[in-house]
Amino acid sequence: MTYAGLAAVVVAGALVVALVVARVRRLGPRWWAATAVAAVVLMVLTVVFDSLMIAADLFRYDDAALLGVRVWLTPVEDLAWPVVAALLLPALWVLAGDDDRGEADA
Amino acid sequence: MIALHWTSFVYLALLLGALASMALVDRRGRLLLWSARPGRGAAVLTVGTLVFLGWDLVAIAEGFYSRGGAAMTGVELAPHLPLEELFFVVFLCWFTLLLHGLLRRASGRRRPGRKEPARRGALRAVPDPAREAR
Repeated sequence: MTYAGLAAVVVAGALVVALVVARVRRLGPRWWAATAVAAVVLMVLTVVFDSLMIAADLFRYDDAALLGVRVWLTPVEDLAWPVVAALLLPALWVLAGDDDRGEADA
Repeated sequence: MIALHWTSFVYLALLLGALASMALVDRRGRLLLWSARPGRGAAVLTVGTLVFLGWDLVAIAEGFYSRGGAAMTGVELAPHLPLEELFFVVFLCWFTLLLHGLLRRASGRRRPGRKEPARRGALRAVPDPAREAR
């Protein structure tokens, strides 16, 4: 398994959760728009802060396990983190609620 | 090894500062842990944190990445999983949920046909007792 393979599995899992929750709780375009904007914002922040953290030597990668594509210092696989966060967490929030109004504020 | 030099606490201190900022935004907007149902927010934060820590554990076990040498306390939750990563992951989850909540709220205020008129600066997390009470 590569890091990209692991990332793909987690992204797929998060996507399934988001799609199922969106279907069951009838989440509409507002929901998906918020998710898309959140994903983009989180990806930009990931590139900036992941690169700073790598530059600061907080963690090190095994280059052999990476695709080798980097955005600044960030391995492209790390962008799966913000994607999973944006897909999974808001879906879990709705899932944890007991109402059907995913579009509602709160 | 735990080296007690001030640089060992830089990353942890930055993370705690970031978490404190999340708490302020959360409280001001009553979004998650300060929402009408804080237990629901805490449960989602906990599950999200476990998912990302699990991702870390698998990646570390597979040798994809490992702990670096700088600016950390040296305390590990598991081999190569620094204490700091727990705080980072909580921050990531909290930030994501606040951001998504604020975006939903902003788009709701822009939508025509609501009883409430759109307000200037809708992105700001302005507490609004009339809405939060519902």
